[in-house]
Amino acid sequence: MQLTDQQKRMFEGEYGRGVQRAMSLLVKLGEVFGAERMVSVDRAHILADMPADFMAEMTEGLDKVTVLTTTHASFNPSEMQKLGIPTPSGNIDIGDLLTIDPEVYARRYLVFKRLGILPTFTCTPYLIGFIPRRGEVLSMIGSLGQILVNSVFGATSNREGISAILASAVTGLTPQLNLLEEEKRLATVLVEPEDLDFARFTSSEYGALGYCVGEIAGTSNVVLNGMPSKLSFDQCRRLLPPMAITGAVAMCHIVGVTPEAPSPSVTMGGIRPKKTFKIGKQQIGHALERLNTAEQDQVDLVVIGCPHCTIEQIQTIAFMLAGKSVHANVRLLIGIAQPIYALAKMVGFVDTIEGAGGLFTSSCVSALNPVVALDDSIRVAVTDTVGPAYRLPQLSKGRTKVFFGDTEDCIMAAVKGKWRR
Amino acid sequence: MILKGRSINGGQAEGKAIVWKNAFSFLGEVDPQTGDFVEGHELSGNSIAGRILVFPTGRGSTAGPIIAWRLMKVGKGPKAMICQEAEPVIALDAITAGVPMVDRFNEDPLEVMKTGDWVKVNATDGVIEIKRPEGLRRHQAEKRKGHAK
Repeated sequence: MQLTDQQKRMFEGEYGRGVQRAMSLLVKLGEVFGAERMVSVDRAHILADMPADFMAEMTEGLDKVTVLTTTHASFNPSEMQKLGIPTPSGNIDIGDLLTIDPEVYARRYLVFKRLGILPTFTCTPYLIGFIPRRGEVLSMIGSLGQILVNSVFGATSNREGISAILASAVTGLTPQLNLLEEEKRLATVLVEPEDLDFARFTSSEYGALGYCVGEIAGTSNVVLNGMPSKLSFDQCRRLLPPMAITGAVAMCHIVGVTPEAPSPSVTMGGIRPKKTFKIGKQQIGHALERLNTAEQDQVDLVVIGCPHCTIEQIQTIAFMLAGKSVHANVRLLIGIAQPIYALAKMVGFVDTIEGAGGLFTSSCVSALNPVVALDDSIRVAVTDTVGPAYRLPQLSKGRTKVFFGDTEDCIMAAVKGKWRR
Repeated sequence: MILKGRSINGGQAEGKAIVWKNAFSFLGEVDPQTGDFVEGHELSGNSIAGRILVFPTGRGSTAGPIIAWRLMKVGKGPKAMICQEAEPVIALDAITAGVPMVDRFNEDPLEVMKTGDWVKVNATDGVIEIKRPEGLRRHQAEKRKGHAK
């Protein structure tokens, strides 16, 4: 690998042991996979739940991180207590990776502060002002955010291990691999919708479409041709993340929407696709059937906000809940980033929603919420995103079944205590 | 028997092989405190701790490197990792945790290696030496005879 003089000095330890450790990790990774050089990272988004001794090892001798660094959604202990989850609790513990021990959490907060890391605790940094610009390089955790960064914002984020992301925050560098190589951004799988009525396409149908694309594409880059050219950000947010759930897609060129996708042929570098697929009403219907695993109508839990909610979603919920209340048998949990919560509070949405009995789980991961894993009484959960619909049955070992629909359907279910038929 | 491959992370190791035929992830397949395969896993009852882990490739969680690192820290990690073809996350697991690792061999390690084989790994040069213990060889020969009947 070709390193600049400064990069060599980082590698040799002139900038302290933490930088050296981080640099050696990135150089090894780059060399194994044939990177020719390092590229500068514009921003990093790290796992918040990093073991303290690992953080210490990687940041030894470091004053401040090199690039603007934010943290991913976590398990805020005060929110967990609000939900009646005992803290500390070992039940969702992966070693000491995911902890809801208040003391550990507080210590991590201090480390972040000292290193200049912004403890944003959200899976949606792009909703709270960290908006990627075309051509930027982001080293980030969160496959659901990565696909948006690559496919909507036209910036680059590779799927990478969490230690490499921290190393990039420390050094400001990443090896030029995968999506940072022009030819590896090209699509090899072409997907075209047929007989879908986009004028009446609901948000859950966008989710189902993404679900189908992910299954088809696996780990390949996709080009989606024939979509409406004016997709709203919310529609993009419904469509793309499921591709990283049923598949491991990090780059989906939506022709006319993705900045670097003016035509299908450009996205494939003028080469014919390896595979071509059509997705129609039948496939969408089948995906929705598979996402809706619940049979009994009675709802125990409503999970909104995985990824974290937009302010528009909160507005929709507040308007629907005005003058109503959440059914006595139902728990409504809303995952949100703290700054969006603050805005929602400022304009009165929080009061309306909390007044109706809804609960905000700000800063927390919604789909892996331990409420679901720990509470045996939850048989039927309702959600408006594919992530929880896909993962809650797994997380609860099949005990919890799911209804998947639009935000409006979910809120209706929260009020009535029953799913629409 | 000697196989030659590509070094992912250097180092020397020697020990018994544990062979897993499917893509491996440190998150979900092994207990992060003990290295034991989790309940319900096909290899449940076995452990990667102190073994030479042989598998086709990596899959899944990007949290893997930290779990591998934690296992090594508590002395329950694998002695080395041997695979057909590493993808970036499983390679980073080895690099982060400091586990010697080799992939891309001149012969398929999953074809020639069995659980229980004694393996000497020189991951720096990408060379491994496989010695099948006499007992295991006899056991397998008998098993083959049994199948033939």
